[in-house]
Amino acid sequence: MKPKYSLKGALISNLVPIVFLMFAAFAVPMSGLSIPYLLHEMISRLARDSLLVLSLVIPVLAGMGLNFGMVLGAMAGQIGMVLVVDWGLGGMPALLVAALLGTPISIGLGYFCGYILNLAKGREMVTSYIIGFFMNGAYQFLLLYCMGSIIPITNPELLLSRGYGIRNSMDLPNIRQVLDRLVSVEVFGMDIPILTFAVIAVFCLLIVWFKTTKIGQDMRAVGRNRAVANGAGIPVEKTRILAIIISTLIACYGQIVSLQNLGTINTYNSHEQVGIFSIAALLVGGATAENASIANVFVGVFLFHLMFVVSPMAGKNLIGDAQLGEYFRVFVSYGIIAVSLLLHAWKKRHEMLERRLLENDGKE
Amino acid sequence: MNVKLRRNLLRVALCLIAVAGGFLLSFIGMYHSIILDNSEFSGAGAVLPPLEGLRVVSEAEPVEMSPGDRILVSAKGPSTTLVFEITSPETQQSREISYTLHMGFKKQFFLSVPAIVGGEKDPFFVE
Amino acid sequence: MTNEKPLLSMKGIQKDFLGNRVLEDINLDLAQGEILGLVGENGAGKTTLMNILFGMPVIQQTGGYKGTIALDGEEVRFSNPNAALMAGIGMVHQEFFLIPDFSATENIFLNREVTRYSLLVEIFGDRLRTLDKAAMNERVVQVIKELGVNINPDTLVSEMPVSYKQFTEIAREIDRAKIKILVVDEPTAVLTETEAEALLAVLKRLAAKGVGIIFISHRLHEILNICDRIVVLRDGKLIKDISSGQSDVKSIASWMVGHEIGDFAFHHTENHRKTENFLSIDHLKVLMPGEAVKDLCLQVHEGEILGIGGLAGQGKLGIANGIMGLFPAEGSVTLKGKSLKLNSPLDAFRAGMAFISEDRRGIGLLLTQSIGLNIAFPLMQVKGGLLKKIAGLFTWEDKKKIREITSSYIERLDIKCTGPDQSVMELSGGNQQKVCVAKVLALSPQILFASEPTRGIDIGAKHLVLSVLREINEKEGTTIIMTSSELGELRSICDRIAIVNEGKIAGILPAEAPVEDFGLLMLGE
Repeated sequence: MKPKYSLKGALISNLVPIVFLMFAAFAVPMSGLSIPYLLHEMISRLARDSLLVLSLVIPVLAGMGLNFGMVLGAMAGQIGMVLVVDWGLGGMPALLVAALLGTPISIGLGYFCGYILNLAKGREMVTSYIIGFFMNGAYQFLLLYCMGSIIPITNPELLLSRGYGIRNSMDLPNIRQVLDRLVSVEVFGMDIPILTFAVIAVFCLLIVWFKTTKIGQDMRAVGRNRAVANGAGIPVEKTRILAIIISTLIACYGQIVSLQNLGTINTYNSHEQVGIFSIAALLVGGATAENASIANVFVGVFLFHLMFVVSPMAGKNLIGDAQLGEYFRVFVSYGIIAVSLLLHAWKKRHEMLERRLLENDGKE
Repeated sequence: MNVKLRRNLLRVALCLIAVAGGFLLSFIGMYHSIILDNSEFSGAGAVLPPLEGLRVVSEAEPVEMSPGDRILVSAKGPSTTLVFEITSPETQQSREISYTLHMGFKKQFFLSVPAIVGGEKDPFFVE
Repeated sequence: MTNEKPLLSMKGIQKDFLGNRVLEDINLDLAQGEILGLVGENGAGKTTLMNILFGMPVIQQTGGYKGTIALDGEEVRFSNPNAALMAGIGMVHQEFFLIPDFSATENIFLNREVTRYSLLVEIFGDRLRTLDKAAMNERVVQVIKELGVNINPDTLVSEMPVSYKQFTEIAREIDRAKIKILVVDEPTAVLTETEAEALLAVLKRLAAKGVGIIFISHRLHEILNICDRIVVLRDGKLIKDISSGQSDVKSIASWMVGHEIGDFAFHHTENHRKTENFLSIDHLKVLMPGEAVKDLCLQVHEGEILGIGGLAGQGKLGIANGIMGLFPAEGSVTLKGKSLKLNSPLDAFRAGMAFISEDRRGIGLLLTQSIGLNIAFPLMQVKGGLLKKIAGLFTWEDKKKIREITSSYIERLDIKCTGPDQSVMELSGGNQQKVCVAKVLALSPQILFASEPTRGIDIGAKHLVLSVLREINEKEGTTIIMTSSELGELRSICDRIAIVNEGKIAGILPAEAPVEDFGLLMLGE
């Protein structure tokens, strides 16, 4: 009775990445960008974003959908980074200290987010999205008002001219790509940041291993059927909070890795887009709100960023307007999120609807 | 020892290690600004003139310093070694003096090169 | 019962539900290794009694209970089901307590996984132990062997036939190491006779090992066969506590219902077979997991009651589900010479067919909605009845009419409820089934598919449902195709009975044919 492998089934379940791949196959030659250049870009972007996207896998496992609340982790990472820059740290120690600082903040924020999501069961995605929004307010308050006044900031270059509050953007001269460059290999003229990929690999392995633990199994059970899991004595709410804490933590580390790659922080913007970008990337990789694998993460980051790089140029060469390609990319990428959320909502109501449709029915 | 106690002790220990590690890393990873000044130094007792033909080798690129110059070098970690090469303009003979600075958590240092070269115990100056 | 002290002793149990006394002064003992049969009509208080034993939250939320429960002589009062489980009381649920996307092993070991030590446990606690899949599979294989059935430990529950789900549940309870008391609620209701026998044998073996078993069932023969003692509940009172040797089916049934009941069989009226090929099913294939139909041909005559029987998993349930469009189907179905569009529930309804699903909670009812809406919904959707137009533009449900119709059905089918507005979820199983019946009656269909219409409901409700089916067949000429795993039930009501084996019709016999003939067909002889 096992479902048989069929080509058609495989195609349908991977429809989204296939569509993007087809689009890329069309847009890459159109853009006129060289393959080595694109490869180099992709490697750099995979190193930059994979960990952030990876943070979304665990909440999906626990049936909590796509965790828009991962921006809380990104905020925690950024707070760590700001403090580290202020203290004048540089190099690998700076990254490690930023991670150490971000850890308790992420755990706290993750607990808070998980607690609220427990009050809004079944509507996790929209709730986490809104939590991301209002915590952004708290973040701004912390950085714009508290830092430099309540929280001492010693480096006047980081502060706004009025004497308190962090500047809009800061360079990270002593932190820029320290992780990427510490151990890197040159292949065909491209620097491959081995250490960054090693860090990502470690987190992937942790997630794979996590799934084989008791708590991983509990999370799957909670994700599949809360009522049965509860009946079996699994502490459902605690398990869900843990899933969000883990996600927030990975997002925090992911943001730190991403910032060191970029070498600058847009204090009030860097984290904002992270949630939407990561979720779009994961979905482009073929994941859904119910199912996400590590393969989805990498395929997603690759395809999403390929579109990013290629579509403006393709648009320019094809129609003479770079903006048009960009419009298309934005439309398709975020359309994917909308479709995925719709499908999720539809599935949630599926049983009820199906009952009506099948047993009684028919709507005119 | 029961399991719970053992684990809690282990957890507390790990937290402490994390905090200590954070301090250690900060200690190692902190960048410091060292301002080197090559102008007349009047310390305890002697007055030392600025040096000619001075070259400073630090963690960054080596820099030549004329008398009266003031430069900023940045150094990482708990301590750094500065090497001063002084080539006398008359004899063309050069000598090297290395100076190790323990920086700790202090961020800025004002150092007078003539004082260091002159073997002054306290080569720091105040603006 | 020669034991000095009973394993479980419930004394003076009393429970009020919103002012209604649902249990009154129940005294119940269970000895080690004893099998106690608990019988009573739905709504008699069996479920409430078990909920009290398990400390289900619903009991505390409604004001707790009076009386004492002692386990091994010590008084206990469980505050949650988990505490009861820890104390060694296991329950096999009537509604499955399984995760469909998990394998048999994963379900059996849910939250009791065999785990191995890993270093991170020291830091993050015991939940970071890793699963020992090999050890779990081994134990599952052993338990399944003990049960005497053939389940692959890796099969997903969603792909199992109903009986296997039941076995999975029982396997889970049996596997509990220190189980003292096992409560089995209607375990055989979904099983075929051979499967049920296997299960009863396992229960006997468990009892021989010293486990006390509380066996809840409507199948009185099984109760008599397996139980040492029988306790009858009626309207919240303990009516009889008697050893099984001193009772028989008839007396138990009368204690349950409270009055003597006559012979169960109906009188077969002469068939009015007007059209020979009223409904013809040709080469039907239905992809229903666990109940697949493979190349089945069947002719149904107008105005008859056709029974469909067979062992579980052979495809008898797939027929109705396939024709009604609930599962993907292929083949041709012709109604009065007109071909029916398959895979379209709406077309099936439009063609005058209606369906009482075997899965009443999943498909049959809108559980959270009122009785009224449940009864009126198909009528509104399929026939546009019960709707009124406001200003000629908006259609609105006619609440008054719905209430009227619902009240008439509540009366006719004796649905025990507070009124048409009560939500279906709050009703007992038997009354929910009556709502399902009322719903299809409201449609006045030409053809009615009734799948397991009496599954898991008590004798009184069973009798009523069957007589209503017979009545509409006689008075309105409705053709009924009834699927049931109880042959006796089919023989009591049907004109002809088709036996399904391996997704095909093994043979069709008149209801009066000897039981052995049916048995042979079921076994594919």
